[in-house]
Amino acid sequence: MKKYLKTYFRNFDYPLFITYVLLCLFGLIMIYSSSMMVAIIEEKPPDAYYTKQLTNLKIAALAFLVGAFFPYKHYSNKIILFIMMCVMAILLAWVNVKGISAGGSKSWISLFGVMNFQPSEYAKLFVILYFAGSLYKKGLRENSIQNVQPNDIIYPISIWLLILFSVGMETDLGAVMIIGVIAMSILMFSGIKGKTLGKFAAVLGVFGTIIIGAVFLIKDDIINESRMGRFLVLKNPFEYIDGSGYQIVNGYLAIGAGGLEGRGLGQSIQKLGYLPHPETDFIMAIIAEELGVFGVGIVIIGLAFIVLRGLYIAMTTKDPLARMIAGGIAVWIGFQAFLNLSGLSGIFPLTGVTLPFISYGGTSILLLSLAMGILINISMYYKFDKHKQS
Amino acid sequence: MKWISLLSKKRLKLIIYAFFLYGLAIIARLVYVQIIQHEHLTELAKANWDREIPFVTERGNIVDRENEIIVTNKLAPTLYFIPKQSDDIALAARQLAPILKADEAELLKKMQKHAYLVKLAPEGKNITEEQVEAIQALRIKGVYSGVDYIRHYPYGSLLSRFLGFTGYDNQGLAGVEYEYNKILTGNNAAIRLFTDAKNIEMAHVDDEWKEGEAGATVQLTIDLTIQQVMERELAQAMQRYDADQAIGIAMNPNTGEILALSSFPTYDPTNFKNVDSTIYNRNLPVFMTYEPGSTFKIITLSAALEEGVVNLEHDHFYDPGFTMVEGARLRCWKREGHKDETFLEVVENSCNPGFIELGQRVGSQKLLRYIKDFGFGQKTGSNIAGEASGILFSEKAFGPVEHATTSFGQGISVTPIQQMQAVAAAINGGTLYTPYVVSRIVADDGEVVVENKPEAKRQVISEQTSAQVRHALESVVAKGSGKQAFREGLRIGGKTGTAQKVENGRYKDGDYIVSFIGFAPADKPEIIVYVAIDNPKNHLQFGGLIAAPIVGQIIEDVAPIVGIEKSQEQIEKVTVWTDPIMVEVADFVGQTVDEVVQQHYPLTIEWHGEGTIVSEQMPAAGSKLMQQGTLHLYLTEKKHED
Repeated sequence: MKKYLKTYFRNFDYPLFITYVLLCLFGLIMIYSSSMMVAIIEEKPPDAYYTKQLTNLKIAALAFLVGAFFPYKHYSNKIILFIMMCVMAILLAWVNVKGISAGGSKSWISLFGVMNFQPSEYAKLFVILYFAGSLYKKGLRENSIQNVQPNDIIYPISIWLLILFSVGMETDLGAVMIIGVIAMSILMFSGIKGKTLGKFAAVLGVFGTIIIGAVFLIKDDIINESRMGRFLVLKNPFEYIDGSGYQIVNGYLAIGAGGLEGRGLGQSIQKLGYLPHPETDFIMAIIAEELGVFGVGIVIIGLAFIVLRGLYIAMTTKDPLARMIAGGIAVWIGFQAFLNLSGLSGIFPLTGVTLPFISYGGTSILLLSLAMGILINISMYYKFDKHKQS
Repeated sequence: MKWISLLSKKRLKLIIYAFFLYGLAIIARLVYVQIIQHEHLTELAKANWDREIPFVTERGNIVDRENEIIVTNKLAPTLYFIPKQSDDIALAARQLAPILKADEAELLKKMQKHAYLVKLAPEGKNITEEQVEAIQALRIKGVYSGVDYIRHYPYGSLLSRFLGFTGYDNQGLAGVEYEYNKILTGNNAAIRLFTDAKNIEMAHVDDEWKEGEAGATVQLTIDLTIQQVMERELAQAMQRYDADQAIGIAMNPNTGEILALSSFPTYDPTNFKNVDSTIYNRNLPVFMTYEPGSTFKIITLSAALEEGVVNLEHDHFYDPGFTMVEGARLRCWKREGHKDETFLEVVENSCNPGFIELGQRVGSQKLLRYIKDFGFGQKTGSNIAGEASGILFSEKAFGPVEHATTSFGQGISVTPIQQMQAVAAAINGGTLYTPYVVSRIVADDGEVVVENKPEAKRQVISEQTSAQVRHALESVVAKGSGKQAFREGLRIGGKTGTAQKVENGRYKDGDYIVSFIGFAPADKPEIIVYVAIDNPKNHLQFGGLIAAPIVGQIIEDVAPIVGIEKSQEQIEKVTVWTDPIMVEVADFVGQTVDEVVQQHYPLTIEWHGEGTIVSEQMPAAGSKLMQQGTLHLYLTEKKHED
């Protein structure tokens, strides 16, 4: 153990760690700034959201430590994978039966009345670990991933589709997209044969049509006005200022009013009730309004560093498991950031997806921290291997 | 243990490229929104944040030549309500309703609107200061009173058909108010409260006072005192003669400045909604066109004198009561004719055959040119809204008959303002001035935006000719048809006129416009006054008896204002007031009502019975009657068979 820790800290990925911590703290400050008015309006103390997020971060730090010290190789362990799958099943069943609605999606569950938990966040990390783990084992068994046949991955694919369907039932489209993209990316860069990938795509197409059709049948309100509006407003949000365009227009106004230098920390006006819940998915607009290009730059550079670092490890590592987990985590963070930022800047419809590390939200930061821990753990092994070779 | 796939490296590279691309797209988009659209969006954001309580600025005043206020504003605040600032909107509505004398339910509905700022109109629009005090005493949350004004007319209906009025939001809808609306309207001031979306004031953004600007003042050439005198006289005439309409203009003949401008009936501008639009939309002195009648003879006279074709004192004319032009019998208003007379007497008597002779001596094309030079047939350029240009004969259509009738003012159509312009030129030394009524426009900050100066269009006749015209016209008042306008020592000159109204190309039976155009003093005119009474009833009489005394009275009353001093040298009036004027009664039996009226007989005529033909008269023809006496004419439907 002592040796492990010594090796560990010698190969610790400080830049990744520092970036992660900085983003979290920056997010915390911005949550404080943007939620103050919301809290007052809700007749809570002005620092209500700040205090809650601070607690979330403390719990998240524990999760990070777990992820960072637990050797990633064990994620291919059958028992661990099984436990994770059970947890997933319970959570999804729970949310679909006793879920709590918020913001048009029924995607929260109340964990023993203590905190609200979003199973879809867990699903993101679960899909990464489960796909990586099972594909890795299949590859081991067949000696090479090249030999893995479509039949061999029916099981994980089916589970993945089940998860997608379940999250889709919560009508959390953003999460569906993220979980979908994560799994497809992992499958892609696992190195599986193109032919298999093609077959997978075909199956996916069929299932996708069935699932979408089914969801439509079961939830006939899936294309409700608010969702259709999200597409319509993209063309000219100012036309829909009183309806679906309200959020996006006020986001624009915040970003635009910030300009190059910003209004100064704490000086946002759009957060004063114009932008509903500015501490969640529109936090970047407030950052832009208060801190200008500087604030936006910090967040984008920080996120880009984490994503590219993850992808770089994935590309250069010799361990397929590390590749798939690191790549998956990078795709998760990157794609989620993309959905958030493109929604708020008006190049993609709003999906209600939060900005990783920055937005308010307990489940999100908890699982992202766990994921960051895992990534740092992988990075440590990666560096260790490199040192050994040289 | 480990397996390596080259494929996975390639595919990871693809993913990295994809991320790079989308990163660039997002950055480009953010740069666009945040930097390129920065100013535009900041403006939008500010408009989104601010809550303006309007402070309506004052509309510009309209003042007379002495800066006496004719139209101004009265403070009448308007209530605004910010629903989100109220704890109990129902209570607020209940409190407000009785003060505003409004329906509570309706008011409540308005106050519950999902708007940041509700204008409580019409209930709370332009309320009195007492109401404001009562409301302020209640301290109702969210209720604001914004400064607002209503138009105030200290002189009521005075000049109303020229001034026009304003509508609900103080926008000019007619007359000067409409024509100069842009100039009179100011930019509203406002208190800008920067508030959050819940309309709570923002602590760290200062309230702004949005500077407004009051409207510019329009100064007229009108003299309020002259205007008041004129309207008083016209109002009396309207009543006495039960007239349809009355028109009056007073002007400085040496500049073209209009000193008074009246149209009757008038109306109360605060009550324009209950007034027929033909009243407030028609400014008669410029709008109405009709046959000028005898006042037009001044033009023929001026032309003849300028051309040197007549010597008023020495040349004689014989009027048998008619003259023949191309087989048409053109009658003098006096059936039996004026017999032998000098041309001065032709003017004094307003003798039609005499004027036909003068017109013929000038020549048809020359007369037409004089008429045009005197400004007829085109707008005067007075800049008064709704001006008409009148109708003249074209050169082609100007045959001998048209030439002859035009010489005594028939067959053409002119506006009162054109007559003023022309006669002013005839008597002021020969210069045709553009009449104007707006002298200056002064902005809120005192800057003079517009300043109108007298504008001479051309010299139409010489100073000498003009002096002769003045003398002849003074003689008309002293000795001729304009006697009723005579005032001791004032040297009034003038000319009567009676014109039958034309409707659909035909003369309208029994519907006359009697007019008089007079000026004083005759040696150096300071004021020229035109009065026309449309369709006087009760007394079917001619211009000299109805319009001339009005003009005389107006000139007498305003003489001190325009600086006319009483003169000792004046053409002697033929009779003294105390002498009764005896008039020989003509034979009217068998004539139609129209024929009688056209003769402008200087007697009060009382009509008896129904019909169009005179069957009997009392006293009989040939007997003498005092001018103040009454001639009784009895009417019947059919002509006698004899």
